Amino acid sequence: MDLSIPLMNSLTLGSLYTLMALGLTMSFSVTKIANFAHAELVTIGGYVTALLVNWMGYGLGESLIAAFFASALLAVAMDEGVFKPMIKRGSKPLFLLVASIGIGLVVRYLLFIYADLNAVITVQAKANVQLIGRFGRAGITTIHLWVFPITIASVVLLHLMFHYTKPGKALRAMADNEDLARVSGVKIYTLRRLMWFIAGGITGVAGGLWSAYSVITPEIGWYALLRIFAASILGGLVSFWGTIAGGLIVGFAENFGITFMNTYFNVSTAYRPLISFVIIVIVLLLKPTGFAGFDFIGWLKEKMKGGGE
Amino acid sequence: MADYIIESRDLTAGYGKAVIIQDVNFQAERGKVTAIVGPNGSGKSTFLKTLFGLTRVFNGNVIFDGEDITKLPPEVRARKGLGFVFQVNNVFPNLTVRENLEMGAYARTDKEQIKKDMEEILDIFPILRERQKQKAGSLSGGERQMLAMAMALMGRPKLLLLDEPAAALAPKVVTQIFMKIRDIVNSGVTVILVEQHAKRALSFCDMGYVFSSGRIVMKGPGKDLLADEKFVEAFLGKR
Repeated sequence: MDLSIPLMNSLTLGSLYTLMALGLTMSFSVTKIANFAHAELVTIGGYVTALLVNWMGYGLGESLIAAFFASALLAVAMDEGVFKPMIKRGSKPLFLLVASIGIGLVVRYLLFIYADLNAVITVQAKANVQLIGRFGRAGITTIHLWVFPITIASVVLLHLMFHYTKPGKALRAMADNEDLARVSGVKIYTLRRLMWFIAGGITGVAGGLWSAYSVITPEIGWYALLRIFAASILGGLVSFWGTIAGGLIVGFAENFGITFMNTYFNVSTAYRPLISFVIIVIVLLLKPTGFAGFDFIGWLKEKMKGGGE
Repeated sequence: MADYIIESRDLTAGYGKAVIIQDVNFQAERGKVTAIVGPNGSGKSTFLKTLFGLTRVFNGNVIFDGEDITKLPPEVRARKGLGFVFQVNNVFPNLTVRENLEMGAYARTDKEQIKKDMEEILDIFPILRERQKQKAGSLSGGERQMLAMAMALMGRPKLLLLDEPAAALAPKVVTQIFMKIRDIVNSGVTVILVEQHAKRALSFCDMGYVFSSGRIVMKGPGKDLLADEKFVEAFLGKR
């Protein structure tokens, strides 16, 4: 049995889920908001990329930068317009979660109206995708050259930012104790804006890459949300390295799981999202902290030291 | 005339719509230790938080170093020279000890001096030097309290607010903590100390305030208050 195609699909989808989940991990770890409107950051990024490539003739790279800024600004607007005022009035996380569902609905249906008027309910970025090699029967295309490096670079840069820069450390401090961060002189609202900007931007890029990989609709983010949460929950909702593992596990479990169930038990592929749901339930039941607390860098150093001996 | 570093004038404050402290007129003299004592729920900690802008002010003013800071947010007050050590949750548990100390100096920009201060602080609190790479969440209660004070000192405050620094600590550690506070005062930092243990606080401070039901009910030099029959009867029990 040739597994090259499901393997390649799993890697690609896993990387895309990781990229989508990084922003959620980042925003949840700092603000403790389970932001369901995160889905719309994916969708907006996807549409901005697809429309710039298809209508304006921009390259994929330029369109992804535009997608970064579009979703980044939307994320900041969500916080400034809804979350921040609610928090200042003493809203609890549950109310913020419900509000995020509301924001998501508004953005999604505004996008539906726009897409309907412009006949782009389904669209795919017509990026110049070329076959550059083969892995078994699976083709390796230029899209893969975008997806894998961007995902790895995002995780590495976020790790470096959060552990070696002053704003990054302050964001971790805010995640621990916001009042203490304030009395230490941290301008929490400025940093929150920075955090939402980066989290939204990365998610927008993920949506943009998705639009080059596959057809998108105004509900693409909403459909991906379960996978995004599964990946983030596997990372304990706080760990970037955990999120990468989470994204890949979700990608692999979905592809191999549904192939296995379909081949041997005749289960329809329409049940694919069930796998993410099962992952969420299992993780929350057995290890709610996911991969959080697993010191990947320490583990890597240990391995490298061991290899050198 | 006394040189007050901070004053509150007719201060009424609380949380949400609840008023916790009322009409508080308070002064702390520069370079001295001012203690605030009183029974549980008397509003001592709320008053301290109000000085730092962490509560809702309904009426009155807070004057720091001659400037009205009533409407300033806590992060700006920190940058003006106020330091705060909370009673609980006073360190960042997921940051290392060193990162916690760096956070203490967050608002400062004098990198070279920060490095020097870090070494100095680690000399004052040698246990923290040993634990530099350890997550703060793994420290013992006494070590956490020392880290919290060290963090506040990294901000080079003119005024340090300490909320029950000896709460839930072993007697030996309490003695160490109070010795460190004395060192801090000797280095020129003004200290306001909220303490449940009235006798210990008043024998340690220069000036004492007694809170009850959100109001100041007595004030005076610590040793005078300890000698006051009315105070002893009401707050320490009959001799």
